Amino acid sequence: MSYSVVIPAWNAARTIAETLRSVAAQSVVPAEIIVVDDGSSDETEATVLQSGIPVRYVRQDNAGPGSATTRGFALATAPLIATVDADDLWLPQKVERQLRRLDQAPQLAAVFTLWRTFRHGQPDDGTGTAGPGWSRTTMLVRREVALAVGPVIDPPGNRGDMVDWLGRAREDGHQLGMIDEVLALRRILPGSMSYGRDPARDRGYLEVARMAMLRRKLKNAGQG
Amino acid sequence: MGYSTIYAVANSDIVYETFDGDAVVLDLASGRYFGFSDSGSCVWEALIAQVPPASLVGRPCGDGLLSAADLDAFIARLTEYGLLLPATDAVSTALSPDLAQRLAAAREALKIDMHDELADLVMVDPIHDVDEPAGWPAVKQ
Repeated sequence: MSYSVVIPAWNAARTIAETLRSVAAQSVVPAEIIVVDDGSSDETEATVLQSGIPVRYVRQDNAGPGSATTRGFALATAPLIATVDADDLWLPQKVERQLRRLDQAPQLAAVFTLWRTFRHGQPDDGTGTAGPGWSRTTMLVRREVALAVGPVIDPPGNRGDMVDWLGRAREDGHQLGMIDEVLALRRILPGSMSYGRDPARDRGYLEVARMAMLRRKLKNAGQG
Repeated sequence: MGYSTIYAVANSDIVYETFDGDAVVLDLASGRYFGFSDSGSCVWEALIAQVPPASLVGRPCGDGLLSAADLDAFIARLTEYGLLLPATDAVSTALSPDLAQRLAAAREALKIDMHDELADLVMVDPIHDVDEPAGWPAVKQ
């Protein structure tokens, strides 16, 4: 089954070419690669267009990674959609393994993989922390499910958009599968301000929690 | 419980916010989040503002008065969940008139609910850097 790739990007000139190369190097090549540039002010566009990789490049005003992902979902034409953050990398067999899993388990709405961290500017030496990649970077989702779950909402501070979306997918009864193999790499940029706790940005997670409670309250009221 | 004890948020992994009078607390270390009844939200806000429990006992709360037993049980839950700890060298504050008014207007018993269905997602969610020079998504750890 064919798949579209959706890459939301904002000021990702430093990393997106490497991400694109990892996508193009998949053992099962995608039907299309869609980059949704969320109003970058750096050289993201030029980097994408000069990468030599066929890409559908779309630009929008800055609205957040969730909004850009939603735009990509709407543009995707293949029956499956794989998403990846513009700084992360896929290992070459990633999508092939996921396609096989979806074929074997048609009840799954989406399938994810383990991922492992690596340091920006250093080659992946296989020693990074590995774990379940419940994230945009490892997701391969059926297109009709992506559209049914609805927009990826950007909480304040752009933290927690996929927590909310995946939580909503589960609430709607969609089964999410995990392949127990590291098939993606998650980039760490040492020294960034986004590492660690930031009360202003952590508010996004609180908003996600609040929305989950409000949905539960509405559901319970509807059943009462 | 010592009613003169002053409490504080247990550690920096505990983040919280009040949305339209409803307090929401999240433990970023476990991914568990917590919601409260209306009176629970008021008492949570009072405790983290370093209002001593002693000054809450007997306060108007809905149709009755806030009892020591109910408050004791509520604080026990907060400490069991790792959200609050007794604070040393803390200076007590008085209950604000606004909070006192909200507590008096509360209609639900003191209650905290724990939710963990998002925990696995919160624990691994990439932390997106929104600083323009860095771009997003940039750093996750």
